[in-house]
Amino acid sequence: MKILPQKTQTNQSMTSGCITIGLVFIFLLLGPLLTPINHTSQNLSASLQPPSSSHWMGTDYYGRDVLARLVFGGRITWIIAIASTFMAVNIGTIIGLFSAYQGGWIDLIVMRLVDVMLAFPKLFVVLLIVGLGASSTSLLIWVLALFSWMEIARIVRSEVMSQKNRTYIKSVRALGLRTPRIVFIHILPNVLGPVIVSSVLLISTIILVESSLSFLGLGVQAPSASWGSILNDGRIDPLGTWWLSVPAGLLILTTVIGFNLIGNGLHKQLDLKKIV
Amino acid sequence: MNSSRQKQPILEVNNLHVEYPVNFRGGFRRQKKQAVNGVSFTIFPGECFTIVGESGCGKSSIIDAILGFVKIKTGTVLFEKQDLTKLTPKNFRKLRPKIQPVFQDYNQALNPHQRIEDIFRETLPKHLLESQTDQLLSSVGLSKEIIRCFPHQLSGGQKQRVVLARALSVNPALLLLDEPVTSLDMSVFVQIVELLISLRKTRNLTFLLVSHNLSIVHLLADRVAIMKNGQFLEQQPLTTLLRNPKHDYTKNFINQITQL
Amino acid sequence: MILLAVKNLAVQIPQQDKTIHLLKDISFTLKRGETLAIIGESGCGKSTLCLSILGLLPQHFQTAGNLTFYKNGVEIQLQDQTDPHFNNIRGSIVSMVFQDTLGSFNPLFRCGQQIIDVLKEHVSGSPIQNKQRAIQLIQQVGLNDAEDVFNKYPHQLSGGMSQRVALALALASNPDLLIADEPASSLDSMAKNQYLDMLRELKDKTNLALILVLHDLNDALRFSDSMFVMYNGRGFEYRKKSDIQKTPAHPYTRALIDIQNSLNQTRLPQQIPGEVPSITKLIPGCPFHPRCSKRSDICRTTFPPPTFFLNNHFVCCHHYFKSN
Repeated sequence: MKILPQKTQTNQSMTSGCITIGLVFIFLLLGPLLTPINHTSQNLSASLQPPSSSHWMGTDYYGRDVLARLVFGGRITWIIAIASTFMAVNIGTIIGLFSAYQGGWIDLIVMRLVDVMLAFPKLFVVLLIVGLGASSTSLLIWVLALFSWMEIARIVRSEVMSQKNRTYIKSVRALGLRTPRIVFIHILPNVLGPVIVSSVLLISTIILVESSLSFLGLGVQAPSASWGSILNDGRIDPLGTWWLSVPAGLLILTTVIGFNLIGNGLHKQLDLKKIV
Repeated sequence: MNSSRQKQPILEVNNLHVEYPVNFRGGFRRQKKQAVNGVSFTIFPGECFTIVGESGCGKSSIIDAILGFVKIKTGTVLFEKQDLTKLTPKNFRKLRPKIQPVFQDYNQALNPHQRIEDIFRETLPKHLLESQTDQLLSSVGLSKEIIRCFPHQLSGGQKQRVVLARALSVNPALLLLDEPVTSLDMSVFVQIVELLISLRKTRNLTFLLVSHNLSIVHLLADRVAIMKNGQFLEQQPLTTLLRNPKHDYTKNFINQITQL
Repeated sequence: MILLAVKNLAVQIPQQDKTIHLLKDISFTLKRGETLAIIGESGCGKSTLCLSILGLLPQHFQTAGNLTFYKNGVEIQLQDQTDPHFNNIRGSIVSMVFQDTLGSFNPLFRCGQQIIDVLKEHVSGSPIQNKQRAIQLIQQVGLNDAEDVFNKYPHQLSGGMSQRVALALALASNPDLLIADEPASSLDSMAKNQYLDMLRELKDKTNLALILVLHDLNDALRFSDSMFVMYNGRGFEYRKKSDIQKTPAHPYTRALIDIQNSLNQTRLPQQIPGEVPSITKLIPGCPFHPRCSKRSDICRTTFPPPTFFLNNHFVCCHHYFKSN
């Protein structure tokens, strides 16, 4: 019996996730309107001031406006996270698709490679590479992407495995279509659901990794900033200079929770459609 | 029948063996299951050759082997005198449109993310797309209105008609019908059988039909092979087979199904 | 002796803009030892009917009408499905074999254990008695090496075996009524006939009432006592099998019987034009009228009221009297 479409249930996880992420996004977008001060302009005489009317979020050691730095750093964090997720998803999807569709020894080798890469502790390897190389934002994006595609590849592969023996794939193969066409036009759209869910979750993982790196001083380098490095600024006296670490920490927390909520929501949404 | 005998065979299968690996005890000991065990037959243009047998007897593996979806252990498959087992992947792909399958599970036979019109975009040339799509759809008894639909919006019979239209869009010579009507509703069953009969005439098609449903075998088949455990027990023209089956198994099979 | 009476059963799903009627005005009665075949094409509401008898419909489905069981002279109304007693009643009176039999097992436990688990719920007995009873059940469904099957895991069963073990599992609660949804439809005709023969013998032995949901008329004609022909969520004809076979009263039933007869005589049958309608589409009047050869104006506007025969049997067609 087919279960007929139900009245669309309110997807609370999705709604709250979207609101959270939306608020953070608006903050990053319109942030410069709140504070006219440049995030790099130093004023050593106004070092480590608590929040006031001129600096809503106080200042750091160099007297830079924390609010401006939060906005700027947040943008960097988001750009790094989204760009490397985008790259990781592309790499993972293409590798997963072809590895599974070809099967045989190609699949075997690729999947063992994935296993090996998953066996490394991600943060440690990224730390090593970033520490050795000259640290730059684009390098960071690349390295994060190169160590995040494996989960996506695995998910894609298992989905393709279940799709490739379906009758419709047999039928289009029998029509004589070329392999890339079968893979991209026929298999890919049918495996995208789980990929979208896990890539949203991957964004929050990468935000955490990037923040950890920057907190350790290996990520985004001064005078540029990211939420992780701002967090680091308040490390020495977290109670005395709470306006440095607490807002940055809260922003990381909300963003990660927000993306996780959206991921959960998408999961539910896509699952519901499957039943219909 | 006699006239077709003099023609060149369209498909010739010689001593076909197909086996599947069966994972046993967590994959430590690999066992092989013999699905098809030395099957030979020839099909002549315009006829309907039918393979009848219980489920699991290896009927569907023959179709998979002809389509190159399973590895053939030994034996040859000659389609219009070309050995399919020896073709390079590229040449095989070029030959593929000549042999088109129609499977039992019409629910899974269409890409769920593709509209009906896009299905034909895969195979038809662009400048002829619209006119040919209309023509194909009307030849399988479908109206033009469904081209904007997704497969899940169609009924079972409509889906099977679309599957047929898609197969016809590449101008095949041979249709491999794997239980094409078994899971359809009664009223639709008759419609599709009638469609198959008329398509066979108008398009000059050859059928290889695989079924355990004697009703469709009666209506379509010219020659019938009875298959059991990967082997053919006997091959006869339909009328001979029904009147005096040689094998006890065949007798039993016919009795079981025709008694009322 | 009447076991189950279904009266004016209706099932619908309310949606924002419209209501989807899955079942409308279904009525029939079932005696002990009787086999009722529910015949209909896909999407006509056969499975919904079974699930509503079992009380397994999803929460958001609305039901109306009466379901009454008569057991040991007691009348049990099954209206309120949220009633906590419903589970008990359901388990001890009705049991169902689903179409996807392999899916009805827990893959982690041996078949025998799963039968014993059901026995524990419904029959009190010592562990040894339960095991004996389970083996007896497996033998009852026509499997000879019962001990062996008892110790197998579900994935080790062949298609035919899993059908039978699923039946044994359904019989473990000692039901009065067994519902089989498309029994053995995944098997080939030979195995299917053997299975249905076994089911008939079992029914005769135990005085079980059977509801067989079928889409193949041939099976229905061979294995049932009475038939309930459904179309688009409606009951079209409910009569004794022999009556339907000889004098089908509804044009739809007649067309199906004609198809079956000509197939049996290896002739190409007269086809019913048009498509099986989707249940979500509302067809005014008699839902069969777009495909019916006898349609007249009244068919387009009003659904025919039932013409009753003995035993609550009926036919719903405006043309029943005219054609006789």
